Amino acid sequence: MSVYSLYVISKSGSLLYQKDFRVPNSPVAKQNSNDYLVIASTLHGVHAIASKLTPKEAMNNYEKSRLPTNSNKYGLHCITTELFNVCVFQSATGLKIILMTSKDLSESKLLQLQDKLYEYYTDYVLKSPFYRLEMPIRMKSFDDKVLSVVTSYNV
Amino acid sequence: MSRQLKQLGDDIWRNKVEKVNSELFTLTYGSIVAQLCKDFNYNYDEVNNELFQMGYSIGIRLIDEFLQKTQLSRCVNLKDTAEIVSKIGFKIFLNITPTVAHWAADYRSFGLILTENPLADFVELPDDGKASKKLWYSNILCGVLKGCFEMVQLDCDVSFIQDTLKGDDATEIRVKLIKILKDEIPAGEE
Repeated sequence: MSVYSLYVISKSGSLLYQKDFRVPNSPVAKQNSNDYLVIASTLHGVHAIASKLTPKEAMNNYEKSRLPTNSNKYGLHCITTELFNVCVFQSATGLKIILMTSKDLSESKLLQLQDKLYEYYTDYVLKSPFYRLEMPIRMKSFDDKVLSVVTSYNV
Repeated sequence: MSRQLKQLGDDIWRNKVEKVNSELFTLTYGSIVAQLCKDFNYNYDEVNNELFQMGYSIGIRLIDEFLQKTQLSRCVNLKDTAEIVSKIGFKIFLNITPTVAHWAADYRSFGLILTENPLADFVELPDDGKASKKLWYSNILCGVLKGCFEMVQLDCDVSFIQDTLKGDDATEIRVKLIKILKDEIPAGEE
């Protein structure tokens, strides 16, 4: 059970935070910083396109597998590959938290982790008086919190 | 519904939020307002405006914490919104529950009547003939509400229409929905 990588994307689609976690044999390769931006904006765009393609009837399929705070009803929900999953959480304010995880991470654990990361964002990023919305997150306290919660999942 | 909301508000207040000494809070806010009055040379229109802007900056951040703590999703109509603002929003951040009242006939605006106002304990407005006419002492609250609503794509007018500090019978904030910012709703929602 592992979490390989985390992306936080603002409502306008800019990458606020990216972190690859140190996991032995991680299938998610390290990229250069430009590629991270490309990945983030691609995911943002694909999510928006998917929301137009999803049939309305299919929406209920997700109801149970998402948090009440997750406003992502029609958009890209999860990409499943042979090696890892990409899961998208989106708040009502448009913030996206995207996780790349191993395939054996259970749904309940995933939801817990999404919620925890959202909580840390509200506590450690938004409450910093000098943080400006839509700006990249460079905060040690947030870094440490994210690392410690993710590490607890990486067993 | 309303019962459940009250229960939820109480639970979150009890278990999830950090509390501070209320006097510390009241006095800190008081000194900010007093300092602003001085800085703007007792031009109360500017003070109101500055308080509103401060509140707005708080609101656009606070809403995420509110959503995370309450685990609520989008409201279906403005009636729900009003109930949630009063029974949960005000409850968890200020430990008060304003009364929702004075609905407009078209249900697009409502009043929040603050029976108590923790910002305004100990306050007597300056006796200069202007303050009691112009200064909305707790105007920061309007800014906070404005910011919160805007981040969940509700464009609203929020303002005080009466305040007991000014000798009115009640303290009332008026919220008027202008429009829902449909274009700004994040992709993937209705």
